Amino acid sequence: MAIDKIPSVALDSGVPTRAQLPAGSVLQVVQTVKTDSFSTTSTSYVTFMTVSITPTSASNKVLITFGTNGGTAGDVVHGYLGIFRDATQIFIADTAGIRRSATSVINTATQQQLYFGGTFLDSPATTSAISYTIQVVSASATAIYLNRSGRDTNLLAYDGRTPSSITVMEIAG
Amino acid sequence: MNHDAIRALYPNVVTIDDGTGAFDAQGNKVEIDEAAVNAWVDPNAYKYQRAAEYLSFADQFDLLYHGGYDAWKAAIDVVKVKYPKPK
Repeated sequence: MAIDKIPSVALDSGVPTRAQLPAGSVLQVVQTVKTDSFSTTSTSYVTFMTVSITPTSASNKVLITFGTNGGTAGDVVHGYLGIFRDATQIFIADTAGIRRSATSVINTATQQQLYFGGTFLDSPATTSAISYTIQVVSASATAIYLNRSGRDTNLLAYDGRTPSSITVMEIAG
Repeated sequence: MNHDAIRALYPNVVTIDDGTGAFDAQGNKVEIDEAAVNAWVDPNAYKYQRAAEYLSFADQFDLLYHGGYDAWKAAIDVVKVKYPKPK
């Protein structure tokens, strides 16, 4: 999807329109940032963050980049992050035995936060509005923490707080 | 929001979002009494306070080597007395 050249018709007419841009062009960018904290004990996926985009052509793609921070209160539970296009989970590992397939697995020491991030090029094949969500689930109804540690000590030199973001870019197909 | 306090006071709460509130397993919003949450005392607070104040393992081993068991126990007792376990 490398951009080799801008079509001459686009340059001749001044500013090229969105439809005139070559494959690989970034057509629109939408971002959601979450700066406060979140936790869940839910054993089914719950939404942590959402970003919405409406592709201008069904042949275009959507580049998703995301970064979250989180942890558990020790090795007492595993949390799983999933990326969803509306109700469909995407960017997911292959099935392997009875292991849970996810985008990221959260299991940390209680004072610890790890960064969980990724990039995925999606082909939604639609011009309808799409909601991309970061969702999280707890394996055993014990809390999973995002944008904070499990311990979350309120002292200057301790655990700290962190933000998360999800950005989607429509890419000309 | 103090997530531990909310979970202790409202066992039906599953998800807590500092931006939107507390929710049960069905996604229904649970009204939170902030005064009660703020007044809640973590029964495990003494554990965190002790852990933050104990000497590092290296310093404890050094104290054991140079001062012996009684010196080590005295150092540990100072922290335990400072942060007593709730009755």
